[in-house]
Amino acid sequence: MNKIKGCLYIYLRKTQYASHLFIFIMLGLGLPLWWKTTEVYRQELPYKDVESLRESFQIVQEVRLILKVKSINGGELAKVIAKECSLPGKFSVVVTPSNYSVEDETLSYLALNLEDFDASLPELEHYHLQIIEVDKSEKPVVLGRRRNLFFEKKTSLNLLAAVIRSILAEEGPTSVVNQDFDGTSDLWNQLSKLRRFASSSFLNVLFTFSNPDPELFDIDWPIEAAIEEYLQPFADNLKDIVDIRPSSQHIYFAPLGVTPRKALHGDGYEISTDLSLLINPLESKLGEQVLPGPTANLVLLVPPARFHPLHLKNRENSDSFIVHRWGGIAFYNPPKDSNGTHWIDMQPVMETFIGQLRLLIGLDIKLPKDVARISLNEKAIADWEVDYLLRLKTIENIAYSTKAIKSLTALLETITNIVISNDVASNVSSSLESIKKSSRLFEKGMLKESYKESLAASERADAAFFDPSMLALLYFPSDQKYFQMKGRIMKSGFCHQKVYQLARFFQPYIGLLLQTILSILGD
Amino acid sequence: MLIQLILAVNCLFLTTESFKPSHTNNWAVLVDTSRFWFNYRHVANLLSVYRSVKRLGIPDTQIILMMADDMACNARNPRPASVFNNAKQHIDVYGEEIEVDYRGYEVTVENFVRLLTGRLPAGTPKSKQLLTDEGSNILIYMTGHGGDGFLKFQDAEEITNVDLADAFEQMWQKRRYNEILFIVDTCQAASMFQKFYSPNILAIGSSLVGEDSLSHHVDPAIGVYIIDRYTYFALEFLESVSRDSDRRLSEFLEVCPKRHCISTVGIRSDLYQRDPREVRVTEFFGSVRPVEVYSPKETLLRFEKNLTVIPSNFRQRLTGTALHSPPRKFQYGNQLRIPK
Repeated sequence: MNKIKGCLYIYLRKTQYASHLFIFIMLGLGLPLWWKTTEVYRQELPYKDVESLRESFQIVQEVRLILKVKSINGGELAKVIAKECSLPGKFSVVVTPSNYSVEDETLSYLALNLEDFDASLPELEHYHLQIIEVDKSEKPVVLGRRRNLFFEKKTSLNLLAAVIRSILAEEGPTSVVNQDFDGTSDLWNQLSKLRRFASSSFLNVLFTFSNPDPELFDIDWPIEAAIEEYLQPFADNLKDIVDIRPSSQHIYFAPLGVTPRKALHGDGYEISTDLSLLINPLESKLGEQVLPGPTANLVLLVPPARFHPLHLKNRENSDSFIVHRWGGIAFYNPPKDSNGTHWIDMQPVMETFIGQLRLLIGLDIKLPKDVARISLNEKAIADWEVDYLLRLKTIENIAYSTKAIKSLTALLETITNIVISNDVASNVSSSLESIKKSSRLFEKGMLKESYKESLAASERADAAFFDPSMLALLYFPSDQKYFQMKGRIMKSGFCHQKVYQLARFFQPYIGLLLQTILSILGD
Repeated sequence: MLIQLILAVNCLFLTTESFKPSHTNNWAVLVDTSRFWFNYRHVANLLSVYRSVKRLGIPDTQIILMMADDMACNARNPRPASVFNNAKQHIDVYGEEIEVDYRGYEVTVENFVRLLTGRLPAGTPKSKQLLTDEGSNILIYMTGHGGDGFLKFQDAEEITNVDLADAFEQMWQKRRYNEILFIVDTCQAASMFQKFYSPNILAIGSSLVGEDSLSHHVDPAIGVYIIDRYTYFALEFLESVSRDSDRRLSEFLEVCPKRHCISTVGIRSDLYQRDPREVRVTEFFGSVRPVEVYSPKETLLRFEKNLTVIPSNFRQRLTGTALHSPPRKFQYGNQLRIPK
């Protein structure tokens, strides 16, 4: 005790304890305090949960099919179909066989043709598919407008199974890995993926009428009526999947981007190559930037008077082409002589446009040969196609959001200086929740709810990834901070060479330390 | 539905069977980071590249042009509303159809990084956004004043090579590009791409670290340098490229040897997976759009209602005018959609 007192006495007498005390307080208390208060605000993210989301997950969906037979053995057929159509990792198919009921017999007797029969059958519970045997049909397998598939007694099982598999979105993506385009894979082969718009809750459809010579052609189109009569039924059927928002406009004096050649057969002109060049002069006038979100541009192009009539060289039935992820362009050659305003017949025009819109949404189902479809009226989409789209888009959304939050968390772990705000953290967690919920619902076969959840998941994942606050001003990597400080050491004349070398050696930590010390000791 | 695919692109690669483009659309981000009259050459550089890129087919909606835009209407400009890249004033690169997306004081480091990473505030117009996807090839051209590891933005701030590398990595994580051709025409340009670590980027700098990039010639009429050496020779090369040219990227990489440029052109190709000898120049400078002829095989859609004959009451309901009315009244559509 005395010894300690003595040492202390000597210490207090002999040494400059003020500066020692000063340095002790600075390093012992000040440094940790400064370190803590200059920490970047980073909320905790559910890193473990996100990592556990499998990269190449496969969701197995249970699909229920109802088989109605007249003259063949239903049970046997049901078993065979269930076996053929189940795809491990994608679908597990359950087929319920039954015979024609009395109502079915009556309807079948009364129906004039398959179309009537299809229309008169009772409404099916959602997402099921009815496979019905008929006496005679024009092709071995006929797909109806609702959830019905008709086949003949002599139809081969392989064909039936192939058709059912393609309707159930076999072609659709079921693994995250397929979504990843790494730049070296062949994107052109995935044509329908290139073509369709990215999944979103709404789609603006802009109908444009382009007339380069309004003084020579007095043409108009009853687009409002056409939208009401032809687009509205289609949009109503799609309201669970995407909200279609139509607008329309006229543009004048847009030049033709390509000089057409004289047609080889017949009179008039034709265009065969460089179709994409037709779009550039139109784009500056379209003004689609005004509409927020993804926009499909459907343009009816009247060619200039000197190239009248103008056709596409390789056209079949429609003088039009689709531009992937942009929209479609159709040519219209007005009759040369007409008194007064010529009103365009919208039926063939809208048939073309809505056909193109179907492709742009993703309805490109590859059916085998020998399969016919009952033609669609203004509804423009069959009920089983709605199911197909729901399945396709749900999987796409789940894959997209998984990839988004995985790469976001990986990024935030690598770049440690970015601020993670509460919004980002909550978006990531809710996106994760939605992904899990959506997968569970999808497995049970509740397509509409699953789609809604998956859409919410992808929107929140995007909101988290593209949150504007993540461009923090604290975004300085440590070597840039050190770079700033290098100049100061040089100027201060404080054994600069030695300190410089030492600092470089212990770069990340001592750099900060020295910065503090220098700022305290004065510049 | 039978669909015929016609690859409508700007190269006639139908003649070479093995060639297929690996991207689906083209974008260009052209940035001039300086302002003031004595930096005339940077604006001329940028607008010359803008002009070439438009000529080769990339539409304005897919070009993001960032420049201070203070040359054309500058009080010192003897030919107002025009910018030339040559003392002989062959071409007015300002032109009549120019669309500047970020002008004046909007050209900042923050806006540039927000543009690249996509973290723009809600309500940003589409023309100011980089709406690329996983199949986009992006040409990024930056010019201005630079140093070792940084680029100066409008005399007020700097962007460092680490920031840029991180921005590209964030673009890669979200698959916002297929390939990037990154060209920098500043002093010590090669330092800007030293820190890149994302794949599929090919980078060209007009000078190495420690070297200055030099200007080409001065216009005695206006008293400032009018174009930089690297861009001058790059442009000479691009003028020989047309939409269906077969010129390869390897030729573009050799475009300014030391005897012309005085500085050494730096190239970074270790992150680029393809061989530049196999890549056409128009894959970055031109435009590709996948186009298909639409031909329904059978009449799948057969609408039953017919609007050919417009009933008179219908027309009146639509247009509100009588059948024998005088010329129609045109009105502006509701473009701003301000909610009531």
